[in-house]
Amino acid sequence: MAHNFFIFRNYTIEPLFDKIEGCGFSGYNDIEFPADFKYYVWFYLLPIRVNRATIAAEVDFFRKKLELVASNVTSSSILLCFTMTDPDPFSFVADDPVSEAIDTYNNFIFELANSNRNIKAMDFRSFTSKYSLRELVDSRHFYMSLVPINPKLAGDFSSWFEQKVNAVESIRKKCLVVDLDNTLWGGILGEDGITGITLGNTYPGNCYTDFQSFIREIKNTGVILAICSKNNTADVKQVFSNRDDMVLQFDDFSSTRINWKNKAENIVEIAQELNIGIDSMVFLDDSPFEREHVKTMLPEVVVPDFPKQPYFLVDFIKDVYNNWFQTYELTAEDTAKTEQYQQNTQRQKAIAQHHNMESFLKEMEIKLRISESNPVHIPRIAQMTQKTNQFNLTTKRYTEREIKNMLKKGYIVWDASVSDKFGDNGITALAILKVEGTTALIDSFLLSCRILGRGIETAFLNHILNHLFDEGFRTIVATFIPTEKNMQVESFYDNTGFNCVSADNTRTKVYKLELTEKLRSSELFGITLG
Amino acid sequence: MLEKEIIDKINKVLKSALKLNNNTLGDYLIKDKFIEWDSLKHITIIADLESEFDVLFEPEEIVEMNSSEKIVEIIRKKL
Repeated sequence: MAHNFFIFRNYTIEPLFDKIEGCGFSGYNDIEFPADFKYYVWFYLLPIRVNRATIAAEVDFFRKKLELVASNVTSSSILLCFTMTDPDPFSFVADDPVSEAIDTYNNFIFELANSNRNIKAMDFRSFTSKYSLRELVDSRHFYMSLVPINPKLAGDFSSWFEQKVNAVESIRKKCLVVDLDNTLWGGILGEDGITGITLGNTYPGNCYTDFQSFIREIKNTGVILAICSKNNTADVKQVFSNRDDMVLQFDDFSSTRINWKNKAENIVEIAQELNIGIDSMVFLDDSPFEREHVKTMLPEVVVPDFPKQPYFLVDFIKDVYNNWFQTYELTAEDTAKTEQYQQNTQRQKAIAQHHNMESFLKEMEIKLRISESNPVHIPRIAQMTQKTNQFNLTTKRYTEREIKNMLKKGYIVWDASVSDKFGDNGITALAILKVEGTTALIDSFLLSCRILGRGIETAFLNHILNHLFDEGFRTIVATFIPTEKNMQVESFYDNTGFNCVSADNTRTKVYKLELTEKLRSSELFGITLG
Repeated sequence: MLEKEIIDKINKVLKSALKLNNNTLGDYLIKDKFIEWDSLKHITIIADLESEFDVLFEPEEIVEMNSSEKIVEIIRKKL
């Protein structure tokens, strides 16, 4: 797939999307809307926590975030919204608040999709329902890397995802051409007779009955049906009129070719009669010979392999539908609604861009607990320098011993634990400073990607700068050392008021900031010292 | 399984996950030498290896498996 996908997410799902080309990912829980993607994907997974009330509250909050993201969707882009599922509906109380929150959340997605033609619901249950809990969630990867969906499903997931995107693109076939003997019913009409063919309530007839019911539903979604069968027309018509266990009726079929001519020729005639291209046809036939013949003569026609066992017929026709007949086409009424909706969203957008991000952050009740040179935190501090790649200005790696030595030498190490109303992320921001006279040098400055996109980096930096100012420091020196992975912070110091004083050919940049007064501290976050 | 078979299978998984050209590499690949082999790709590689060999790795092993040599050592213990 040559599409560009930008995925809004709350967990580590890159491994799941590993087999899909051209994916960009938001920060965790970040809803900043980047330009220039064709597809935006809203893929929030149910938070894995113990307390059900907290989970429910968080799901409610996701809905508000989605509303904001949805207001950014333009007519040239598409937002694909995954519905939410609860793979493990484990609750300590009978009245589980999570299931209600999920219902509300999913209904919201379906309403969005119904009222905006650029927003599509992706029913994630149609993927997850194929797996058991143990197959779907690998606790190892969750606890090691916050990967909730088993990375082994990446292959299956990419096929499922591709089908859904194709459906959105309406790469949809128009006509389903079916054979009759051993396809719509069991047995051969010419040999078994009208009463001998199998249909009805018992095996194997019940498989064919359900198969027909499914085909009728497909017809109701706007697919044209046609018959292509080697039989006598009169006999076939008798089956339709005399067998009351036939689900499909003769006039469900817009075109029929019941004769002894070759099937490729018949299919071409059906296409001409219906005035459709042969590349918009799918042909179902139990005979490998007939399938091969049509495939060879008419490579444009889709000819899926047909199951040998009748009990696979329903699985088979579901796959046929998913692969070639899924649709997101809208009715005229929906279109009218869409226009209304678009006007509304434009209005909202003007307001939204100025206020909403801020009010969201306030609503998140983000708290920073900042500690200075706390020896208890040394193991986590060292670990952060080892692991953090993206938001890391100098990418210097330190061991615990090195950090201890630096503290002895008078370095100052600030760390911040970040929590919000849904829980505590632990120590996720870190700054290491070397001090000389009234000058402080920022040796390391880094944030875990888990908390990016909320302005925490600036609040943390400003807090440190203000503290230094109070302590009598007047000059701050900082460095940006580029790596393959930290380009997102290339301009961090430029954006926070520092002046670039030198840059060398490795693109390492040195910055200076003279402190003359205290900076305004952020009102968005509660900051405590600990 | 022969040592050579194990190495070939491992390299097949690694090369496919890292999208490497088959001819340019020797038998032993080291995680640090490939910018593509980051902590996220590592998860994919572990999943692919587990499917290929039908084994399960413990977290301690997953952390250690940073070269094809280490991977061979750990997988051989499980076969």
